[in-house]
Amino acid sequence: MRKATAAGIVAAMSAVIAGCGSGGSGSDKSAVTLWMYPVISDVAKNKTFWDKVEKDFEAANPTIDVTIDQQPWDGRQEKVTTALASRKGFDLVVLGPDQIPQYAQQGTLEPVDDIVAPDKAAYLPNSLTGLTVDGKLYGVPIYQTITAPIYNKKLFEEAGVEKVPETLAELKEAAPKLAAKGVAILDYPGKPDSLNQSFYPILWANGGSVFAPDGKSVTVNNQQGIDSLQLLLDLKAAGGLPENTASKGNDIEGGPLAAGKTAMYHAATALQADQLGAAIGPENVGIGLPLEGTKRVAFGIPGGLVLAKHSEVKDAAKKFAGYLASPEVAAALAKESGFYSARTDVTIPDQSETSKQFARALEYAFPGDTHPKARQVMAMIGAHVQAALIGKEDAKTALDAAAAEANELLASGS
Amino acid sequence: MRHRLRDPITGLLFVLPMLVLFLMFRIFPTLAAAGMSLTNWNIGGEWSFTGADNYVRLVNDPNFWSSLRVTLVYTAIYVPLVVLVSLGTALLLNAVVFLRGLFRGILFLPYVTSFVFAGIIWRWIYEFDGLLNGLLAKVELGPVAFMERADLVLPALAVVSCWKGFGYSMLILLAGLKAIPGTYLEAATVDGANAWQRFRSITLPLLKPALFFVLVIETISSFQVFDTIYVMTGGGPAKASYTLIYGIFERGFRFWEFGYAATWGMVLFAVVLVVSLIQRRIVGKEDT
Amino acid sequence: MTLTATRPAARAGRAAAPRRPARGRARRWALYALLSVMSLLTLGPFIAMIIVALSPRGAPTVPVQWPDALTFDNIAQILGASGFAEWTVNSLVYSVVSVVIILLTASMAGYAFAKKRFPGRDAMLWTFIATMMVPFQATLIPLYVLVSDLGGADTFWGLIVPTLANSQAVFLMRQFIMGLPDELFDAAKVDGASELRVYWTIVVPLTKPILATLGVFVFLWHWNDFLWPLVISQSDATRTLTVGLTVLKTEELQWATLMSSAAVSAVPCLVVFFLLQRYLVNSIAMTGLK
Repeated sequence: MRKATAAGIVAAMSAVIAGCGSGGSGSDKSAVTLWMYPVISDVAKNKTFWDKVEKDFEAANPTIDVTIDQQPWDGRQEKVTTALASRKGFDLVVLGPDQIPQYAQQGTLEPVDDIVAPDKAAYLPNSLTGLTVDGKLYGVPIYQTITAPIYNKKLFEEAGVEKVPETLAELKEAAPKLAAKGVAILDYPGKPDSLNQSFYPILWANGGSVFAPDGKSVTVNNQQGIDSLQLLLDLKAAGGLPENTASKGNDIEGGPLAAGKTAMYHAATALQADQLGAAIGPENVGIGLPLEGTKRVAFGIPGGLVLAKHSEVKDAAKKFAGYLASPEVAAALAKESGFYSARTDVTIPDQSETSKQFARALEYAFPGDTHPKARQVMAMIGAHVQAALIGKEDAKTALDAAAAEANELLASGS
Repeated sequence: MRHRLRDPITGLLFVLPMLVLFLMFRIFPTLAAAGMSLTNWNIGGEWSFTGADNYVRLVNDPNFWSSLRVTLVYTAIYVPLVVLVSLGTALLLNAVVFLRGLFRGILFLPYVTSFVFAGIIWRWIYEFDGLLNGLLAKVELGPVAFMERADLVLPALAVVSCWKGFGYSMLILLAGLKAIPGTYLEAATVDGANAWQRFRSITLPLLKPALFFVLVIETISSFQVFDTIYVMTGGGPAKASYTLIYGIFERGFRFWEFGYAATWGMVLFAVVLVVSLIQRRIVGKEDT
Repeated sequence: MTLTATRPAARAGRAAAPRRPARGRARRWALYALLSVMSLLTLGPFIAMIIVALSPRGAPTVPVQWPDALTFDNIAQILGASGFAEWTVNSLVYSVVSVVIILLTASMAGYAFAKKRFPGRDAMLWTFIATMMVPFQATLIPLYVLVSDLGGADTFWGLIVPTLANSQAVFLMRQFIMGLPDELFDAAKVDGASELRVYWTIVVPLTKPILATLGVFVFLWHWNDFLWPLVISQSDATRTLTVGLTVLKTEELQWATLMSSAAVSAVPCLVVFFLLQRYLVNSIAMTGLK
């Protein structure tokens, strides 16, 4: 094992060609760069908000010069990775719990425990655990997202179902009644790129877990896992899933939910609820609590402000991160974005009705297992769940195969 | 060949600007990627040379073999399809005069837009209750879940890429057709050759350089098909459209195993190279 | 390319045999019918795109149903985005500069590969072509580290220069220059023309249609390029339109925004295409040369 002083072989080789690159700036101000993502969907409001944040902070901290660059969601992975690899670009960036463990493990991020320490008790516990790797906090939660079931109430009424399903059992029970009307009850998105808004919430509600508590093996093929997948297969057999369930994404616009062909989606975002409202009329949209199996669990992740290890202005960056996490900024951001604060001591002014409904699910928020191999394992499970949905494998075979592949990956250590 | 100017220095000077650009921005990163494939490098921290470990892992990786198979099948469908469509449209455009510019512009339209756009449009078309199934239902063949059938997903994706990409090859072949002196074809017509004979013995041989170009470029692009799959299937159903390039993307930018991703990249490179050399052999070395 | 084997003896001066008019007309109708069907297949999605772009945000529209009303709000929102003018200028710089330099360097290299002999020529050409086969995702990180170490991050040269190494352009030019008869070059040589003069007065004019075609392609490739501009530009100063427009997108898919930006960014490509149309139409001047 060798320690590379530069960013590995690549940087070393290019450094030979390049000689010394850019020089430092002469100013005695600390320049902090934040890469932000368009969490506020209205473009103009997004700009106004971040311009104000920048101005207010600089007014209070005249020695710090803040730059906030808006980056697109598309290609986020490539963009952040190349920046970390070349050790240039941002000082602060917003990442989710599915990205942080790997970057932290590779030693490219700086722990930020000290920023949160004074108000630690004020944060939602799951916001912090989701951003913690090996006992150290690597992200300052500046907002929290949540998902919850959304319903087309009219379709349930028309099928004679008086109360929309609030548990997995009720979901299964109501499926044939809607199927009789030609409506699939659950708009299950089986496209295999992520399971966080499809299979995992059902698995979690049934008390299942992807990884064993020690993270050394995969337990998705235990009874809870098989029950969860079997539920989907039973729904499918009862006409409770759309015909293209195995390949469809979870887009509302242009999808079967908006067209009145499916009746509910168990892991929607607030924006999706509004999109559905625009399509079928807001009065027909119901928003529920996470479906109950043996417990209620909702997928929801904190937006974590991470600090790059290569940053040369760590103190200034931490100060800025602390400002962004303060109750005032958190409240304003939550109001504008429709997301939530990761803090419990924040009151969000003038929340929309949709936002208030979704906020009820916050206490059940779970960001998924923070495991460095979580994404690889998700890809393996995703492919087999899809195979089951198109009828190629039964529930047990599919999950056993996925678990075998995943356990082999974990054992190989590579 | 005897007429060819023999002047090594000027030849090199003409190539020089491109050569410098290549050495710096293509060859060097490629060598660096080849170097990465021999390490367990990720974006930061410790790394070490692991020699051929990544290659051994690759050979034992069932994902790799299945994605290689998927890629080859896709190429075998896509390349003939796109070459035939673009050659056909180029010949059609070459045969008409009135409104030719308009038709050429319209047929080239799909090439102007993004793959994301093409992917979304075709998702509508392939949807279970989409346009195509509506037509199939009329002749009592449908509906067919194109994105969920392992045997149909690759042809379906190839059609999308063909729709999006044929305009490129069409324009190249059209330029190639234009380079054929009209007098040759007139002379053949006078000699009593029919359309097929003229095509077979004059157009096709004279079109060879352009056709070879199209063949190589389309083969390469079929090996690197990414956006359509990313938007439309995410590699599914059950990995039936999981190609080599999708594997590279996933290993590199989803799983952060850059060394291993580079290994996949090197092998993909080798496979395309072999296929192209075979094509060169078939088309004929002298004419290319 | 060798024309000798298949080149029929040119019979210039002989008139084409008169065709039977009825058969010719039927054939022409068939050709136009085929072209029209294909045009519908390519045009249809664009009409859908424009309808969605003009539909009120979130309201039901095609393919589900016809929209109740049309609006320019979505397009206006895109055009009114704070960086729009800057992004468009950046995209134009990125595309136009690249077109000019690539046309020049690629046609020079293509000429040398097609008509000159020098040591290592074929190996070099095939190395150029082979680099196309290395997937960009695999070399993205080394390339980015190199360019940013050279100080090229967030600069125009860092954006443009690495993309000038374009194998397709070289390969394409070589394939077409090969078709020019050697006699032309010999004649020029006899006249004592310099190498640059030969290139400028013979190669460039005779390859105009393919240069125009290549120009359209290079413009499109750069205009629609996403991944490289995304990673290399850090701020609005060098951000291109394609990247800028994706900044307007939320995480959830929104048809109106998506289709409006697709429509807006396609316009300049179409303008360039129809501007260069004139050159594409002109058939290569070779007929006059025999």
